[in-house]
Amino acid sequence: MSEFEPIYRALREHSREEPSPEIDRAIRAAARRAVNARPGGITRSWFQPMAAAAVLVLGVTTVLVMQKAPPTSPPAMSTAPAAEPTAGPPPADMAEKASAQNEARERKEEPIEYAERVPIMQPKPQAVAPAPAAAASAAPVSAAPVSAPPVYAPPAAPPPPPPPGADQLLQRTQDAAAKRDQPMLPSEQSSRTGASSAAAAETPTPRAVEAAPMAASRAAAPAPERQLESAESWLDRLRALKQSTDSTRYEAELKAFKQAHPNHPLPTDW
Amino acid sequence: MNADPSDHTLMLRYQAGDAAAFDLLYARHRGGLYRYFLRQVKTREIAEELYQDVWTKLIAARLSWQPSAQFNTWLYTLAHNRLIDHYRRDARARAVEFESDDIEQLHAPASRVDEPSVQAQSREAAAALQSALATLPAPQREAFLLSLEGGLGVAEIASSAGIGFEAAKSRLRYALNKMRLALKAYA
Repeated sequence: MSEFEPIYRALREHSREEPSPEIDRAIRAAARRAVNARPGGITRSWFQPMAAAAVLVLGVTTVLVMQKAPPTSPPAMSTAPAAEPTAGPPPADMAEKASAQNEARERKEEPIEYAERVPIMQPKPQAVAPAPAAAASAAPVSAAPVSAPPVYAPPAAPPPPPPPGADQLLQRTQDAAAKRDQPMLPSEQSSRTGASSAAAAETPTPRAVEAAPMAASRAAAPAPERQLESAESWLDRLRALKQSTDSTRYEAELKAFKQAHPNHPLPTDW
Repeated sequence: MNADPSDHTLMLRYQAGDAAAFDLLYARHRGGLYRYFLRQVKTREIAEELYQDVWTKLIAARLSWQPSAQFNTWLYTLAHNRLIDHYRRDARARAVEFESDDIEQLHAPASRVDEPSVQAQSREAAAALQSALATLPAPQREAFLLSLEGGLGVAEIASSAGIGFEAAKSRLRYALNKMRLALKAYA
C-alpha cells in the first residue's frame, strides 16, 4: 500500500485531535483502581477452602444420618416359604406359617418403629421345646440349620389362601404361640407336640407322610445332651408334682421321664 | 536492543497488576482511538463518551485478554462493537458530518502551523481531507480509519469489523482511491 502512503501522511499531519486531559485522568485512575482492588483478593483466599469444608461436613452428616435413621420402607425381599405359591403345603409347614403370621400380626400392633426395625423371625420349635416333643412336632422344619438367616416377611404380600381345615389348625397354632413364652413342663410339651402331630395327621400330605417315620424315630431316640441337661431339673419338677395333688399329671410325667431316661436312677421312695 | 516494550508485554504486565504499564499502553493508543470515534460520530461529546466506554471495558476485561490476540485488534474490536451499539441506539447517528467550526476546534497545533501561509494551506487541506472522509460510505470509512489510526492490516480490519478478508480489502481499497482523488485536488 505504498502508493497510498502520501494520503496517510497528509491525514496524520492534519489529524492531531486528542482526548481531553480530564478523560485521560479518569481512565488512568480507573485502571489503577482496578489493579489495586484485584478481583477477589480476599474473597478467593477463603472461598475454596470454605466450600471444600462445607461439602465435607455435609457429606459426613448425610452418611451419619443415613446410618442412624430407620429405613423409610421395610425391605420387600423375602426368601420365606410363605411367599412361594405352593399348591399344597404340608400341615406342619402350614402351622409354622400360621405361627409366623400370628407373630407378624402381633408385631404390627406394636409401634411402627419396632415393626420396621425388628425382622420377623420364623419360629424355631426345636429351640423352644425339649427333645422328645420337638422331634415330633417339627419334623420337616427341624432339619433347617439353627443359624439360618432371619427371614423377612413381606408386609404387602397377602398370605396364600389357606386350604380346607386350616382354620382349626390356625387356631391351634395361635394357642401354641400364646403358650410358648410360658414355662412348660415336659408333659405339656409332649402333649402340645402331640397336638401338632394330630393336626398334621388330619390333613396328611405326601411330604408329611414322608416325614412321619423320621419324626417317630427322633421321638424314640432323644438327643443325649438333652437327657443330661434336663434329667435333674425334670426330676425336680416331678418331685414338685408328687407333692401336689395332681396325681394324674404326676403319673403321666413320670412315664414320660422313664421313656426319656430309661437308665436314670429314680429315688427309692418313688 | 529495543527499549520500548511491545503492546503485548505491556498488557501482560498490566494483567499482572502493573498500573504503569497501562499508562504506557494508554499513551500509545489514546489519539488513534479517539480520532477513530471522532471521525465517525456527530459530536465531540459522543466521541469522548464512546472513547471512555471502550477503555473502561478494556480495564474491566483485562483478565480475559488472551496473549495470543494482538492488543491492537482487541482494542479496535471493542471500539467497533461500541460504535455499532451507538448506531443502534441512536438511529439518527450516521456518518460524521464535520462542521467548519469543529474542524478548527479539533485541530491541535502542529509544528508547521505556526507559519501563517502553512497554517492556511493546512487548514484547507485538512478541510478537504475531512470532507472527503465524510463522503465515504460508513463501512469504507471505518476500514480506512482502522488502517489509518489503528495501524491495522487487512486481516486485522476484517477481524475487528467482523467481516471477511476480501470484504475488508475491498472496502479499504475503495476508500483509499477516493481519498487519493480528493487529495489530488489540493496537491
